[in-house]
Amino acid sequence: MNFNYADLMASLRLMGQGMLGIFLVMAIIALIVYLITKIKK
Amino acid sequence: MSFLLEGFMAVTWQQLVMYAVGIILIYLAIKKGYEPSLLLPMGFGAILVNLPFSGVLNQNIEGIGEVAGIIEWLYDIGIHASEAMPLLLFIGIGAMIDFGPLLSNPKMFLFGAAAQFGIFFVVTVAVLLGFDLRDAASIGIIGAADGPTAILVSNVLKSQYMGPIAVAAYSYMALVPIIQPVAIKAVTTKKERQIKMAYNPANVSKGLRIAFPIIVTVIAGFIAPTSVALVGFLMFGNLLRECGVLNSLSEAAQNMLANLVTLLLGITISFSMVAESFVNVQTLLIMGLGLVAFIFDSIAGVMFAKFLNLFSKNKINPMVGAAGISAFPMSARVIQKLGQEADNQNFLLMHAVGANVSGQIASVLAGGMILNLVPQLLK
Repeated sequence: MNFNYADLMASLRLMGQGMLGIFLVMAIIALIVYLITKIKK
Repeated sequence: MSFLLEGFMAVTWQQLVMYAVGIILIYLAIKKGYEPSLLLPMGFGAILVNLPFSGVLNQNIEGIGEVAGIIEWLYDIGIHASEAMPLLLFIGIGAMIDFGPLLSNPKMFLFGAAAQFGIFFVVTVAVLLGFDLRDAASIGIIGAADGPTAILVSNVLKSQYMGPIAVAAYSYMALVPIIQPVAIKAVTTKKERQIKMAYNPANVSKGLRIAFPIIVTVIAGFIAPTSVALVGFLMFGNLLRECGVLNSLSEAAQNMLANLVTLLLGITISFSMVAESFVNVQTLLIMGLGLVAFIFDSIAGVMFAKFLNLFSKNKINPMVGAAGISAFPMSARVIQKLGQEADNQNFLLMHAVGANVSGQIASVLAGGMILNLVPQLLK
């Protein structure tokens, strides 16, 4: 176990890209569900 | 007569520690009711694999050669080679989930996303503590509050800490009713916990219920292709439930399949609890980091709800954000209980259930994102 600066940078990129990816997928799904519900009405 | 004493003579202090760990897991399962279906087989398995010259592990016997052990074989076939066990369990879990409360209030999808923050926060903390990125990402996924996802991700990333990760994931899932109230109360005022939310669910059509698992799989597949196995099997189980023409298969997935795989998964994962690789300082660090992940998941969910309240006319009770973790239905129950504690006329259960099932989708997505991104970052 040794601290590695490159891994730290990678982990921060993982945080940014990972959270963005999850929010993006969830937001798209939410939007589609919302639109389908509206159209059905 | 010395052969009768060989086992006693060969036992190490690390193996004795593992017997104690096994007994504690069995105690927690039986006496406290903490995830008994997983902790009990894991506890018993921890004893089995740590008996000297244990026949459940592959042995090289003089004069005979290598003899296969059942737990090592199950591990090789069911987890290491194909991740079949955690994936099959997802079919059962998908068949158990009713996404109705989420589909009737799509805003709740965002809470599931927000409450995955603890995963990524802990990855960074683990790197700061000296774990390499693959192990750190595997440790972070404890925050998905989803045992099968934690096992699958740590296996794909070839983490050497799968045993402690699985134990931490399942233990903290069971401890959600203790962890979450402390975390939530630390970042909310009583006035915020008293916020009432009207529940006017939109009617969810059968067509939407059937289309939903297909939509989720396709979108997740395009954006994070590595998540397809996780999301796809979860959603396949849900499609079995919602299609309305495969009731017997849906029931088989919810009961027989889920029970059988859970039973085998618990005892199989104990292969990663062999004393030499389990009894060390890193295990203690991983247990601590798992707790941090759960706490920061809850805090992030609460803070995201507070953030949305800055722009919203109809205020959201910030505690509902904390239900965005995957531990279902414990987390939703915790939020309902805390809401009633603050005001006995405060009914948050259905909102919390919506956020909670959204967390189940978000947690497998988080696993998929990690599997997608970590290999790219390691290039």
